[in-house]
Amino acid sequence: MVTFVILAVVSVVGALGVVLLRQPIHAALSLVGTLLTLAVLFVTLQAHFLAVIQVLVYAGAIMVLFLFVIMLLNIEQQRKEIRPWLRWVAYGIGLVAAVGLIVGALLDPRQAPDAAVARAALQGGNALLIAEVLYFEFMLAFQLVGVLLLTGMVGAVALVQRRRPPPGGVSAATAREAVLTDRPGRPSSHPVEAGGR
Amino acid sequence: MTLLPEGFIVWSVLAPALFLLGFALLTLLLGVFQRDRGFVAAVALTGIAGAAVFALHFLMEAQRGSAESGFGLRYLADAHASAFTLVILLGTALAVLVGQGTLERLDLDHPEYFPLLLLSATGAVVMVSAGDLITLLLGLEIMSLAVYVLAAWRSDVRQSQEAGLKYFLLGSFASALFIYGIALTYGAGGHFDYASLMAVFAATGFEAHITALLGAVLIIAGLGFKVAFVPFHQWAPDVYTGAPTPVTTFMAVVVKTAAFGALLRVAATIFAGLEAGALGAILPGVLVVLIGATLVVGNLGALLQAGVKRMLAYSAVAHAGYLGLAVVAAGADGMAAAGFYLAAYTLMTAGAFAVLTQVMDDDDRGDTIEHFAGLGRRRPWLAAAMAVCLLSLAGIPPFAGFIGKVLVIQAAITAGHVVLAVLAVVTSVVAVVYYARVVVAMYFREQSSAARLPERPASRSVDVAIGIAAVGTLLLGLLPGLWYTLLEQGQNLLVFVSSP
Amino acid sequence: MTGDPVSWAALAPLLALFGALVNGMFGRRLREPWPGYLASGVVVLGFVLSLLAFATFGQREVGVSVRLWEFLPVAGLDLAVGFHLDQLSLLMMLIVTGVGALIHVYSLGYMHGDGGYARYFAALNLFIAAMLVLVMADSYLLMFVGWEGVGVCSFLLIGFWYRQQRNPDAARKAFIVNRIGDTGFLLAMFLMYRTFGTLTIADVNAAATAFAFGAGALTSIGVLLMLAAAGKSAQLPLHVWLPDAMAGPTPVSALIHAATMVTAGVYLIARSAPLFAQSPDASAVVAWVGGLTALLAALVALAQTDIKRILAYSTISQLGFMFVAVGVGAYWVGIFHVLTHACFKGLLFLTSGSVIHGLGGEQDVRRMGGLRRFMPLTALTALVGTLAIAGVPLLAGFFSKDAILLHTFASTLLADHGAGVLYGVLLLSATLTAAYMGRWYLLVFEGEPRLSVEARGKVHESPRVMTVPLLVLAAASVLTGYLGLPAFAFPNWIAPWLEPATATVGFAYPPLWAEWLLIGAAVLATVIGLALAWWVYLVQRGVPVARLASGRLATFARSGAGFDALYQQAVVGPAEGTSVALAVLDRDVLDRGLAASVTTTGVLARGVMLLQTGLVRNYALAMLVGAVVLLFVVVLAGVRA
Repeated sequence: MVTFVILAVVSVVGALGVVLLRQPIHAALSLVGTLLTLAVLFVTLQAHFLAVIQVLVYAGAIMVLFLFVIMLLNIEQQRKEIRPWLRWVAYGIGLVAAVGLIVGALLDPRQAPDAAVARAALQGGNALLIAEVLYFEFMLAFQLVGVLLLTGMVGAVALVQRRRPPPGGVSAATAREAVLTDRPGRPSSHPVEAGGR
Repeated sequence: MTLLPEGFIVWSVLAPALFLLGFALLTLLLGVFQRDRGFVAAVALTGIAGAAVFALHFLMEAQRGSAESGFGLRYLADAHASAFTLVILLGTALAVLVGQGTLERLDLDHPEYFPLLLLSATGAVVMVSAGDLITLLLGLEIMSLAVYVLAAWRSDVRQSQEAGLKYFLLGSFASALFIYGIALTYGAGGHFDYASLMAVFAATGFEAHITALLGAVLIIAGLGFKVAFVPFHQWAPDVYTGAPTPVTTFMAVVVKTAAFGALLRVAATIFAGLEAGALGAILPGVLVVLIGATLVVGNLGALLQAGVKRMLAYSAVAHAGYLGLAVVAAGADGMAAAGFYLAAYTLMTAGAFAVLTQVMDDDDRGDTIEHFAGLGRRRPWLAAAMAVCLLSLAGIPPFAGFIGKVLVIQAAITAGHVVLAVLAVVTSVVAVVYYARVVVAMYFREQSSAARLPERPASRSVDVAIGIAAVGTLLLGLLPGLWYTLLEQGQNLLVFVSSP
Repeated sequence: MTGDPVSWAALAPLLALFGALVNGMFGRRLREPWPGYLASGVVVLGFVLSLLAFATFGQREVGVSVRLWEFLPVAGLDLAVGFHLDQLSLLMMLIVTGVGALIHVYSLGYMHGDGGYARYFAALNLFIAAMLVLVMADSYLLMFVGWEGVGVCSFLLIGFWYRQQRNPDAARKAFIVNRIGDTGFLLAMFLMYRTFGTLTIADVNAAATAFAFGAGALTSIGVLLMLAAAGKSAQLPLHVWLPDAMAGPTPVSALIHAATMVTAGVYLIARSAPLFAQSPDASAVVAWVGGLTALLAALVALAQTDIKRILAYSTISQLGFMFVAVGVGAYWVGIFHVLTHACFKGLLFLTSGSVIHGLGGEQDVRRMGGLRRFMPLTALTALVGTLAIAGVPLLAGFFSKDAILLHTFASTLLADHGAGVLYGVLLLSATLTAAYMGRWYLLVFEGEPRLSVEARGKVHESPRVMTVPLLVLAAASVLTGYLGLPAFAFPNWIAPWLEPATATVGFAYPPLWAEWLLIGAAVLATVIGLALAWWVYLVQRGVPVARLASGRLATFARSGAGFDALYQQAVVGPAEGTSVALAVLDRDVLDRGLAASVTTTGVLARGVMLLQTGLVRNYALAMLVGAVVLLFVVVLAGVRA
């Protein structure tokens, strides 16, 4: 129980860090922390296989990729925000959502399953169990993941193998001002329209 | 080691999806060697036609009461699934035709276009055939990922980039909500597949209503994003406008059909199971509020738009509202009504966007009402097709849109949602205004000198698409029974039966 | 399609529709004779199909049903589209396609060189299709589709030469007056569905037979159906559109406004025969409206001067005779008169068309005369038509009119509703009929030519493509009468043929000598009428009429019995007054309210647009707020529970 509380606190703090820290590198490292605590949680549940996978795939491969991208793009410190209060509104709403979910969870009248039950379910190193579930019950889903990856690959190749976007970087600009909008007074996407009405 | 029951894995039910997938790979390979895009498009159409043959076969099986399923009810090929698959294939075929005729002109011509279209359609087919939440999620992601890329297809044009990025960011957010919903539902019911969830939720002694409802609400939010329910709709006008028009054609019809197909199935099973229990009235209440807001916002948003493309985007939101009437009546006549409505919607919306590609210039600009002024005189057939599609969208008899509206409104009334039905009728009046504006401009106004129609040879494949759309709209309006009886009489698996 | 040749007839309306579509869409690209050939071809083919069905129908008791498609299985209401082919509808199909084919061929010559050649044939084909749907429909709803379809075609063809203001006005008048009748049709259908729960004709009739004799519901439905029939068939008081409808091309007047469409009302009553046979009150309304129309229109026809308007009033009068027949319960007689009338009135219209064609557009009978010398064939066929309609023995009109008179006299259904008086009215109308038709023939073809100088130079006999249909129709005007010889002495084919498809009503036939006496009376009426016309217009050269012409009765008759003026004062005037008042109300009250609601909608729409900022973070925030609100609704509901 004590182990669980400590791990839970660490993982939530890490998750908050991902959202709140300004430096992308800091945020990414904070995410590593969360993922690692999750791996430890798996260990406490006797799910050793999952724990190893968690470390290898998430903390290892994916996080390394994240860090490479951050380094390559060399993202500088964000410029001044347009509406600083919006951030706080979002925090507030996020807090409200969290409270709502917690209250909802507390309202669930069922008892949490005993740790012993969970352990019994996962006994035997559980790689076999996972394989059974994955290749039998979720055979179809497993195959579909392959299609999903293929789609992602084709899409990525299609987007990258083009002329470079115009200087200035569209994606960075989008966050600040949008072309596509109903708002009067904003630059219209259709020159004719602007004079038309 | 647990052994699977005999007949658990049934590859044959995957036939339409596998056919599409196979032809997606084929077009991908062909794109490397073959410069003739017309040939690749023809191959893509062949694949769609092949998939349609299989889907039709399953639909006929369902007519005989022997609907098929595989993977332990995780993948279904019943009347609902195969009918929606057919609608998706129709939308995809129209999008391929429109794309083939415009890609080169709009400088969109890259070899991955048709493969991505087919992959996206594969995902859509999986979505409507899914019998469990994981399969649904994967189908959704396959479809969406391809569409995100297609929306950003014109990487040198800022609007297209913006559309793709907006769609991707918000879509990921929606997926997060959706996955959270799936997790909560699993937490409450202990299963992923609809059949077990339905049984667990409706069983006496089930107590985790709150958790299950929270999951259901988040699933509604996730799928509501794809179908553009208010307040999850705001991406739609921007992305529809920013994406290249041939892509918008695909997005507007196929994504909507797939998302509604999935939502209807979830509503008819999981939600229906939940509604049978305590707190059951909450879910329909939530849906009614969302759908009412969608009807109002969609129609009001379309009212003052100067660009026809953007107007059609808002109209897509409004039609999500009308289709929502079928969702609150899912299980009863709702699924058949929505199946009819979406077939009509696919024809008339794809037709309108296809006409739009002919009116807009080679930079994919120039879609204001000014550009439509006097079209009736200059291009009578084009204007007539546009008029048919728009009047049908407005719900004016004898076109298919009218029958569709009648069916969903009737379904909603049967299910006891009279207020929503009245709201749908009232907002339809507003809808007539913005559709009619274009028709009036085409026929009763002179061509303005500022907005000249581009001079170029007509594209035959786009003409074919427009012809199919216009004739189909009229045909479905005159002979709705042809399609509706198939939907209504076909066998649906996993129909919720409330236990006493 | 089954192997039964009768069911093949269901193709006939589709063929005509096909012709209309091709001519309507590609007609402008076809060179002149081809649209006409195509249109005539599909109608001739339709006639052949009808004939085949008619020949193979045999002695069946019930008709053949052809279900085309289910429209929509809406709860409780069976909206199927299907045809029902029985004796009655087959006979009507023969009339429609037969006369229709002849008039199509005639139009090849008549419309030669007209700017709207293809448009004309497209509309004519569409009319045939709609009329066939009307007579073949197996439900009142589908019949109503055809009913409206023929109305639209009539509108299109009356206003065919739309560049003259008069013609579109006439077309609109026809359409608006018909709307009143259509309202009756709709109300009748509503009431039917409420009473019987079905709109299928066979079911309604079966249910009506089982209903109490003379029940109020049946009478209401019957009277409403009669209102519909009065609109379409130009009966009092809705007859005012038909004389003006003569503005259309003459073949149109012959086909639509004499032979086929205007008889749709009679068909409607005959089709609903079991219902009317159960309701003497509704039948009395039908018969009396018909009788009064017959008399009044015959009177008015005497004073008209336009060659086609005379025939138009004559049509109204003859339709009145048919309504009397179906009103007294002699349904086969009504349809028999529809058949003979289609032949001789079609013939008369085509001869008048031939005259107008030959004179280069002249329509005033006062500027004709003596045309027999210039157009011998036209004059001969016109004479046959005139004698047939007047009721000269051994011609078609004689047999059908005599049957109407006999059955009115012998009616038991209307025994309490003044059948005897009605007989007198009809006899008087028959006399007047002979008189005005005699006048028509004599003024046009006999006596001194009163043509204008330029017309005299141009006058010529019509080309063969026009005269051949005249000859065919003239032969039919003689021969069709022998299908319905007086049953007391001769074999009668048509009555037993039609009986299974309509209804059986009892008649108190008088003894044999009395029947001969009745025939004698009818012949006497004809002779008196014809002699009167001969004496006044040929012997006295119209002098007695010149003195009468300023009289009140003549003015009354010339003005069409004052109906137009009456409607002007009683309906149009008040309606305009109401419009002015409503306009004030509209402008000052409703418009402001409407404007306010439009403004509100606009403001709301702008509000929606303001929310569409284009910024991703705002959209994401909106989604999040939406999801959180939904979550809280659930949680709060859970807390409360």
